[in-house]
Amino acid sequence: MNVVRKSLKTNFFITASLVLLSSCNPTTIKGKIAKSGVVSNDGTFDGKAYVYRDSPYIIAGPRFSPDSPDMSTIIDKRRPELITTNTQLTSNCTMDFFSGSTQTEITECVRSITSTENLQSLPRKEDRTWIFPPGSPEFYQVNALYHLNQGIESFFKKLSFAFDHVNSLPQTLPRSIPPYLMNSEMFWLKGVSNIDSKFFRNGYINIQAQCDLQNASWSPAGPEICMGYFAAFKDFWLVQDPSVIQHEFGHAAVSIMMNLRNGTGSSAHALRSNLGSFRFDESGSINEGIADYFSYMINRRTHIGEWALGKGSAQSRPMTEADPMHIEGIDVTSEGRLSYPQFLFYDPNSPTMPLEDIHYAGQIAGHYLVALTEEFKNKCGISTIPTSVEAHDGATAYVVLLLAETLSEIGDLNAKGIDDYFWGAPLLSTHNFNNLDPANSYLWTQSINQPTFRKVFQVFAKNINRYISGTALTGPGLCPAFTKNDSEKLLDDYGLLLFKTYNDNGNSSKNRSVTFSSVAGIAPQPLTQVTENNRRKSVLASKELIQLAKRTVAEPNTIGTYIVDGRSDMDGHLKALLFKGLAVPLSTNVASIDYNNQNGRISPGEVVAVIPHLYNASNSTMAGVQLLATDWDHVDITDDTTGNFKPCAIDTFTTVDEGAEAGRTCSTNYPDKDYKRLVRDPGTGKFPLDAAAPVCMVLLEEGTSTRWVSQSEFRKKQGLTLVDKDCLGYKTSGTTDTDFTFNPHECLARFLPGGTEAFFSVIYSQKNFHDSVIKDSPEKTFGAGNILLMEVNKWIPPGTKFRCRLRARFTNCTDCYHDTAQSNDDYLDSDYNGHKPYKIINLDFDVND
Amino acid sequence: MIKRRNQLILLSLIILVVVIAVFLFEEQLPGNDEPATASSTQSSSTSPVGMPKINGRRVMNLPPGKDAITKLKVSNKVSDWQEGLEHSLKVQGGDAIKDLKIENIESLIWVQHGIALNVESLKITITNDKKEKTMFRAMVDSQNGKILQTWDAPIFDEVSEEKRIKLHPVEVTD
Repeated sequence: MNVVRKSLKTNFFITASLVLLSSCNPTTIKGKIAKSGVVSNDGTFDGKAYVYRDSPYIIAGPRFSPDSPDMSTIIDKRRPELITTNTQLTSNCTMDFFSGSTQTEITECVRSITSTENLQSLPRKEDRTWIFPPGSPEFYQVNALYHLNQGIESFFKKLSFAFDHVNSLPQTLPRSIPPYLMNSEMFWLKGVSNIDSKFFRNGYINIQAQCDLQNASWSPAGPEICMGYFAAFKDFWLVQDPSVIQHEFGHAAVSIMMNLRNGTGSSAHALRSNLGSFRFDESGSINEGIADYFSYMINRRTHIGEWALGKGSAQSRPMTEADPMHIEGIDVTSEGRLSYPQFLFYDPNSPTMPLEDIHYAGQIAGHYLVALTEEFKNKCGISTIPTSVEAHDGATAYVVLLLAETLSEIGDLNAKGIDDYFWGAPLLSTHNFNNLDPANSYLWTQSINQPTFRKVFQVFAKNINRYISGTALTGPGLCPAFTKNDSEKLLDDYGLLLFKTYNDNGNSSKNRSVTFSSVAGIAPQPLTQVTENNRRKSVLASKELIQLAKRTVAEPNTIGTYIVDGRSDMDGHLKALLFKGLAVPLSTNVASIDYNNQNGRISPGEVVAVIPHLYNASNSTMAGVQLLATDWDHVDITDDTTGNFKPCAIDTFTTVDEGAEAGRTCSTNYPDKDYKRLVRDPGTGKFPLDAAAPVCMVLLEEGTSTRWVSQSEFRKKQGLTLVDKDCLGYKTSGTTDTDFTFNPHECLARFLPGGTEAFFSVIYSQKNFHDSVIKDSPEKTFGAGNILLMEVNKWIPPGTKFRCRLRARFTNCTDCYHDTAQSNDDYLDSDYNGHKPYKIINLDFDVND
Repeated sequence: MIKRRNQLILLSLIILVVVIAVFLFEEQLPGNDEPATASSTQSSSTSPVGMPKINGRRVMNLPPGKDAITKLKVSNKVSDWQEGLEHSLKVQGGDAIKDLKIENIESLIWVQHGIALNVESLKITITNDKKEKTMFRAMVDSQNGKILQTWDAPIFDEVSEEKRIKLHPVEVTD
């Protein structure tokens, strides 16, 4: 990848040359068109092709047949478009900085490829055009590149505006887009600019116009966009619908914005932030909503996929409540907005059939962003004609600014949050202000404190105050007419006013007394409260009322926990997870699905899916319910040579009589500010006394008393002659090698990395999850996101009792986020290492033979 | 002749002054303190500081402190990690994997939870029997191929109901 910086001097010479030469260049096309329709190129068609400007549905109408569509009737034959001046089917991209005074050009930032086997791009034809027969593979590759270029150009223009505006602020104000973005080049898909590194050695997106997939996909690991097909119709390709190309590019833009802070001119974090995962979750839903918005941003239409999704499978999506596709009752009034969580499962194509899917849940975010854009068009005076292209471009630029500031903050893996604005360089302080710290930032932002509707729109709203409305500190924003009250009311219309404050006082991630102003010359930032009168539709509930469903006399058929231990079910599930990008480090020596016996119990050696069945005892819907089985600080480690511990007495389930500890590290310095696993230090041979511990403990019987202990203590005291190599999670490459990441405290039963989180979209009032979602779903099955993945050591004695201390919280929760002792400021990142933001769910089970 | 030579010297000096003036003027403009061109073989920052290295491997998450790099002890060795990783992926994927490609992007030293390990940052591409492809990133232990972290999973915009992962609890427990 070549990066070229153009100075003013170069621009002057180029401009002067163009002025001189322009008198020689015609401004109208003079090519001769032969009777066959083939253009005889006299130079005016150099680098050009005929394109379809939109899908067949839009150009030719809803009746255009999806079977073998004749694309020659769709293309615009009046005006060929410049595709690329390169001799291969690749494009260059240019990003402006400082009002265009400096430009960074990335040569070959996009490649339209013929296939992923050879990754070759089409060479330009001998006649120097890109004109190919309509419907041919080459024709689609050319059009794919054209439409992707439109998206990139629009995005870069708006990101450039965002960068310039944010960097024009005084140095005393915090912002997220880094001032060194031009040096780091993280505005494109580039892992690191270290010259020795091979990260993203190819800084381009591949787009494959006709790939072997019955859908479309975005692979950040490529990076690659794959436009597939729909088998029901012949020659039906998703590339025929530019709105879907723009949607896929929207995913790429999200990936870029999430990682704007994760590199400098000379280094980058080893990982990349993602918004969403393989499961149904709110991060993925928000990503889909933003991707839909990108289609609207580029083509100005408030509907996506009329052809590719609508014709193919009746799955097109509206982006405004005014769309005629919506059911009655949905409209652009406050009461009629597509609000959270009521419309999470709403499929406008089949409104009576609720469907848990990130694309439909994402409509809430997409509709909100479009509504916000319309507000900007009407209120901000961008153009005298609110419906003009100028107004649209300006208003969507404001939204891209907000998205870039929001996503870059949420995805910040370097954990600093702000920069040294005086030097225009990364902050060198040892304090961190975001996502705990660099070593654990990925875990925090992807799992422990992941982007939910609450988190994303809290940060987004903070940025509206800062950049759009303006505050006492920032002065007037881009659009003072759109006030904080307007913003809160619109958010509340969508049920997204889920926070009590804007968490904008700049606390460090581990210590409230350290703030932005302590380290970086930033002015002290007050904590901004939400005006409670603006909260009418956004309902918050208490976490105390979420619990495991219990079988009672009144409800004898209630299930407490579901287990999936069928061999073919688990085999299919594990394969599907791998294809979704989740490689799970299974312990192949002491557990395997070969031991699965399908008896609905947890048995030695099995690999099972556990679905703790949650019940909502409140009078409000709970949405975005997250159940974590990650290690956390719930123990007092008593012995640094063994790492043995006592569980903290943090609820009424595990008492002091059962071996729990009420004092020591369970009360002072609780929870630990740093996060580390309970593994042996190879240097000292000792375990850290301030570590997080695995969630599952074992009941040890000692004479007439019993107490809960660590799995390592149990295996020693119970006389199990197991060495470390006989434990779960131990991987060796030879007979003598040590596995330094092995945790002996999950030797017997553990939740697998990658399977330590279950997500439940909605649990209605006085109901459990099955009755809320599964019972009325089309197939009445649980989804991949509803489970925790567990391995059980084959050497466990049957009858061994386990207690796993899981942690639950949900999006519209009042006491999961707000620290009442701190004027409802959000909990610190380090507080999420403990139990305060969560409700403890104790999962007890016996291992059966 | 001497007069002509003096004229030439004077002309050269004038041209030199003009060039220096233009250069200095450009230096004043924001963002113009970068080289005019940069290629992929050159760092685009003004002075590449880079990250500390041990045995040619970048060190990620180095603890703070000026002696941190000299005190750092890497615990594991570099061994045949590929075999361990392939075995792990095949256990999970079984016959669904028709083609497996493991591309080594970078070898690193990764400090996590106080332990420094040699790790490999990889791109894994899997093709199934329908020629559908998936790719994602993974960090593995350079000694035994154990998967330590995965990220950059693909986003599939499903149009087909059959692609959704569904689970049927066979029995239940209380």
